[in-house]
Amino acid sequence: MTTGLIWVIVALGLGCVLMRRRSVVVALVGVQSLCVAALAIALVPSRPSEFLPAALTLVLRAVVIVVLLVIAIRRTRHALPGGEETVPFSRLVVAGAIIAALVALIPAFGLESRLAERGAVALIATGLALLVTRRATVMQVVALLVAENGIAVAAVNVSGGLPVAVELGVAFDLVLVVTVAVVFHDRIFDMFGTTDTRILRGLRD
Amino acid sequence: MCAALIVVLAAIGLVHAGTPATGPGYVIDGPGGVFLAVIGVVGLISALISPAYLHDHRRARTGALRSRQLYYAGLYLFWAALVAVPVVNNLGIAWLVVEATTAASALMVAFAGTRNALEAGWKYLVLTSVGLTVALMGIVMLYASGPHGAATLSALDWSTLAHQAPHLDQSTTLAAFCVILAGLATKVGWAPVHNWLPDAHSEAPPPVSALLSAALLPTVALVAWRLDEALRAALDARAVQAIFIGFGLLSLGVAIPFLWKSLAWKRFLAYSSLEHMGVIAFGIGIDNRWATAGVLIHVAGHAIAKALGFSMAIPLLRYQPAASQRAPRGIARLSRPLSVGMGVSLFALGAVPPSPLFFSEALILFGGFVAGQVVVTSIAAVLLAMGFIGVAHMAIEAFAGAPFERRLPGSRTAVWISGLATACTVGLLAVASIAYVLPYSTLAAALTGGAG
Repeated sequence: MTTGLIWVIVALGLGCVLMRRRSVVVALVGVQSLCVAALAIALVPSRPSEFLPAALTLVLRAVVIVVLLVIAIRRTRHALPGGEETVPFSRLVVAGAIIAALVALIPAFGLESRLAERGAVALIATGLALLVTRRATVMQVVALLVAENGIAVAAVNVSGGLPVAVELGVAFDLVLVVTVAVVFHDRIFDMFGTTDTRILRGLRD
Repeated sequence: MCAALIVVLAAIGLVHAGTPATGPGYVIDGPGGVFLAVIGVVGLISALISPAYLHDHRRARTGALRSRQLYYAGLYLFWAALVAVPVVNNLGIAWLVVEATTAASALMVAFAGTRNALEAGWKYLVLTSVGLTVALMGIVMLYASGPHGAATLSALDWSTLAHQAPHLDQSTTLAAFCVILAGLATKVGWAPVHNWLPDAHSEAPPPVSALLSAALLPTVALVAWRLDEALRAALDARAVQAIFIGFGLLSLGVAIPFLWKSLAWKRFLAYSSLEHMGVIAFGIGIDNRWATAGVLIHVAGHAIAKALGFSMAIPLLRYQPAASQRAPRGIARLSRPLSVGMGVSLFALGAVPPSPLFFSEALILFGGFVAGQVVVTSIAAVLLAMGFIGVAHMAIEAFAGAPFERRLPGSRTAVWISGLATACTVGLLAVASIAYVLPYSTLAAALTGGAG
């Protein structure tokens, strides 16, 4: 089950790279976050003290963040970037290249399975690819979330799990950063009439 | 009151430089003491000059994020998060606190509510958050590669990491260290991952710019430095040295062409921050008692000079509002107190003797030659000399010639400018005065593992 979930999580990340509509991408990253939580939930029966807090934190984090992003999208319905954004195939090629490079560069680092290590690194790479190829503010927040999901995959597969304080702290910080990002998203839309970050090119030397 | 408490903590750290005071979750040691003192002083200056900024900002045109309460809430949250970074005794908690500074300060960067401020705030938020996510991946890698057992937070304590380092796999630890450092570099503003820095520093309110440049950047560098210290036994020293020196030279090299350009005052100071973070990275890479002492003096001297420089932006924009977009001119004819304040900041940043930055850069370069790093140290010396030309260019442009605008200031403005400039000059001279003894102190020894 764990192996299959990791593949699904990586595939959902690539789906975020391919899909154009923000609502679809937010749905994909929401499902991805819940799949990561499912990885932790699967470990709860055998090691409840280590993975129950992690599972609850991941579920709560996924729900709160998706709600924040849905609110952001609903307020800025007609703000989709225009047709000049990179075509899906090019985005996939960029993501594939970054994934291949990082998976080759990062050695085994002690997770319970090599697949989990590669999956985690692939998700970080997918986040970086999203950041450089997508222009809408929401897409750049999704880039951060996909990368954070990669870290969560790694954290769930650490023997004994990560300390609860770190899990909680990371989730709190992520929600805080996404909240601030949603505030910026609203302000950028109010000021520029779009959430396409290509408009943010006023500061040059 | 806050600043006094921070300075007391700093004093405890400096007094116990050889024998740090530690407890559950905290450490107060010599290096932490230096950084705490810096954060305390810069935070105090930022808080003191904030009313002047808010007074002027009330008359500015746009921005919905503006409100006095929001401003002070953001400023104090940012300051509080910064204070925690040198005190926490744990890599994981240090990461959490550094990430918290991003959330608090990003809104402050966009406080003016202008198009440029929003752009700068967004870039800052996204780039540093992604960078810190990469750093977190490195921390998970480091944690996973350690001895397995029950999940305990103490496994990431600086002291535990140092204790376990000899037993860690070298290649995995080096990979984790590189990933963490690459992530932290985005927050420190080391080239080539510095893109947010000039924009955020130039668009943030001056008191926030002072905290960002003089306190935040070096404090995050301290996390990287502590990690280097903790993992020393597991890392290839030459590789780590090469990484830090590489960041240092690249940052210097990237900053210099911009220092030569005719830039607005705050944007010039932003590129100066990039240059000085490069000097700090270079000194950390050299890693002997002279370079380490140089880095500590550089952190303190740069903080005072930069805090003064950003503070002067407030009266400067009163005299010459257009100086927000172009280089200031004719300041010497406009206002003697302002020209003194800007001059002290500029000459201190340009490492003109008796600036502490003159002594710190001399110590770092001397340390580089002593360490046998002749080629890279020579390159650094040339780059620093080229950087000085940029500072001299700004000095000539700002002080000489005819002013392009003139607005008469109030006499109260002249009083606080003079007071701040005098206090900062005294502070700079005090920092410079310890340059002779610091290389032989327990403080420098503590950061080099007692090695010469």
